[in-house]
Amino acid sequence: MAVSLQRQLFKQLAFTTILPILVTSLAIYWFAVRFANQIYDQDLLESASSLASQVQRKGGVVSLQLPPPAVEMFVWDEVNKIRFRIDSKRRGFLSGFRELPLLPPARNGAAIFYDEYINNDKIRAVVISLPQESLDDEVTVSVSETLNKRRQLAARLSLLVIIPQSLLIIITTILLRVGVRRGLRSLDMLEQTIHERRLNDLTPLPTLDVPKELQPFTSAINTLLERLNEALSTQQRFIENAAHQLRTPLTTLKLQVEQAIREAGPAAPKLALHGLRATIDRTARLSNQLLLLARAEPGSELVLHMHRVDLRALALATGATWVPRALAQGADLGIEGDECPCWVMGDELLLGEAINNLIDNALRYGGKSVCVTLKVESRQGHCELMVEDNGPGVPESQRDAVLDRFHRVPGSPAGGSGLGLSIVQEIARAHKAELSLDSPASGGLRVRMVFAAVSGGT
Amino acid sequence: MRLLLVEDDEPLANTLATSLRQGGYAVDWMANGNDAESALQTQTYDALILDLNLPGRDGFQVLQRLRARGTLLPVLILSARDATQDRVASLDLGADDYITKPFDLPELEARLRALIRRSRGRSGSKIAIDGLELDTVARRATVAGTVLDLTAREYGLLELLVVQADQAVSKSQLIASLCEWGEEMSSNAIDIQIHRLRRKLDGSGTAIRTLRGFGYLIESADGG
Repeated sequence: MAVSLQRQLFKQLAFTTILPILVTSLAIYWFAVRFANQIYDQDLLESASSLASQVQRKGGVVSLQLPPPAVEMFVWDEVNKIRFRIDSKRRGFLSGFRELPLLPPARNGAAIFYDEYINNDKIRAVVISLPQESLDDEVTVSVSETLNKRRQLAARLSLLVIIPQSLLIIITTILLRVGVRRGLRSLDMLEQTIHERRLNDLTPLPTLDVPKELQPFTSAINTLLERLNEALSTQQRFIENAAHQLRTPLTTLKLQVEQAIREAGPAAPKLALHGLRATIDRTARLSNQLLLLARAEPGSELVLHMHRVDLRALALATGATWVPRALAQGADLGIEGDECPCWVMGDELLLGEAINNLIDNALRYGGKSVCVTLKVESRQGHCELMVEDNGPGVPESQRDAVLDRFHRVPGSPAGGSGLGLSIVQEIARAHKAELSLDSPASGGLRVRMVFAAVSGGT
Repeated sequence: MRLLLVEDDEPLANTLATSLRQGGYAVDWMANGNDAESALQTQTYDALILDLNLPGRDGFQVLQRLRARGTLLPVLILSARDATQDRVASLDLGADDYITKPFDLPELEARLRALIRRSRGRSGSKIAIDGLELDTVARRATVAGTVLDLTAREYGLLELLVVQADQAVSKSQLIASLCEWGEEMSSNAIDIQIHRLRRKLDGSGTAIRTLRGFGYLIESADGG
C-alpha cells in the first residue's frame, strides 16, 4: 500500500512534540507533590515540637501535663486522623495512642519521618527525641497523620497539570494537522491539476506556485510531456505527409484512367477501363478513410480542432455536395428538420466526414433509386443528426457487427471498404456522441448521432 | 478559355492539363509559385487552378499577392491538405473554391465551369447553358434567339441558378440574393416564383429540379 506522506509527517511531528509535553507534565506533577509533602511534613514536625514543649521535669522524672481538652484539641482535624505518642526510655509509654508503633528516633537527635501502616491505613509519622541527660532518660515524641489531605492535594495538583497540558496537546495536534495539510496542499493542487487535465492537453504544468521541493518532480513531468508532444506531432506530421504523398499520385491515376476512358470513345469496350477506374476510386477512398481513422482514433485527440459547429449548416453544405451524385444514380437525397442552427462542439472536418460516410453508405447500399433523408433536430440540450434510407436496411443481428472495421454485410454490393461506419463510430466517440442504428417505420436503415448541444451565443 | 495550372507534381500536372485541353481549355502550366506570379502578371487568364504546397512561394502567398493587386480572377484551390483551417484560410484569402485530392475529373470540370460562369456574371458577360443564354448586362434570357418574357425577380432567380448550374442552390441563398435587390421574399414566395419560371422555361432545353430541403438545381430538360 502506498504510504501517505501527510500521515507520516504528522506522526513524526506529533511524536516529537507531544512526548516532551508528556514528560514535562509528569515532572511538574512529581515536583509539585514533593513540594506539597514537604510543607505537610513541616506542619507535622511543628505539631511534634509543640507537643514536645509540654514535656516537663518534675521531681527527677519527666512528666507530661496534658489535660484532656488539650489532647482533644491537638488531635482534632476534619480530614486526617492525628495520632501521637510520648514515650520515656526509662518510664515507657507516657501518653497518646498505643496503636501508633514506637518508632526509633534518629541517632543525632534530628527529626525523622516514617511511612507506616496502621490497620492497613497508610500514615506519615515524625519522631523527635528529647534527650534528658541529667536524668539519664530520653523522651521520644511521635506524631502521625493519615494521608487524606496529601491525597486530596495530589488529586487537585494532578488536575491542575492534566487540564492545561491536555489542552496544549489538543491544540498542538490541531495545529500540526492543519500545518501539515497546508504544507502539502501544493502537492494536492498539483495532483488535481494533473488529474483534471484533458487528454489532449500537453502544455507544461505551471511551475511558479510549486514549492522548491516539488520543482524537480514537475520539471520531470514537463520534460515527459514535451517528449510526448513531440512524438505525437511527429506522428501527426507523418500522417499528413503520408496523406499528401499518397493523394497526388492517386489523383494522377484517376485522371489518367478518366482520360483513357474518354480517348477510347463511346464505342470501345469499356469494361476493363471502368473496372480500373472503380478500383482506383476504391483505393483513393480507402486511403482517405484510413487516414481519417488514424486521426479520429482515441489517443490522437490533440489532432482534433474543436470549435462550435452548426450541425444543421454543416449537414446542409455536406449534403449539397452529394446532390449531383445522387441525381446521377437516380436516387432522391433530401434534408429535413428545424431551420434554426444546432450548435455542437466538434471538429468540422471530422463531422463532415461522418456525414459523408453516412450518405455514401446510404447511396451505395440502399439501391439505385434509394430515398435518403438527412435530419438535424435539436431537443432538450441535444442535437440529433440522422441519416435514414429506405433501402434493404441492416438486419438486427448485424447492427453491432457493421460497426467493426472491414466488416461488410453478407450479400451487400461490392465496392465498399467496410470502414465507413467504423469511421463514423470513431468520430462519434471522439465527440462523445451517441451512435445508434435502427430501422425507420418505412423500413431501411436509420443511423442516429446524438451530440450534446452548446449554447448558440457568439 | 485560358487557364493557368500551378502544380508542382509533373505527372499530375501533365495529365490534368491534357484532360482540360481535351475539354476545350487552353492550359498554361507552372511548377512553382515564382513562375506562376510572373505568368499572372504578363497574361490574362479566365481561371487559376492553384496547388497549395509549392516550392518557393506557396499557394497562399500567390493567392494573397493576386488579390492584393485587386484581380477578380476566379481561383480554384487544389490541395492534398484537407484540414478545415487550410480551407478556411484559402477561402478567406480570396479563393473561390477548394477541391481536395484525390478528386474526380468531372467534379473539377463542373466546379471550374461554375467558377467561370460566376465570374462572367460579375463582369457582365454572357453565360450559356444547354441553349439558354443569359445577358447579365441587359438582364435578359434568350432561347435560340427568342427573348424569354421574365420579370426582374424571375430573371434574378434564373441567373442565380444558371451561375451555379450543377450545384444545389438553397432557398436561403436565393432569398438572401434577391433581398439584395431590395425585395422581401418569403420561402413560399420563392416556391411561387420558381413555379412560374418553370412554366416559362418549358421547351427551353433546361428545367428546374426541386431538391428536398437542399433547394433547387437547373439541369438539362432530359434529366442529364
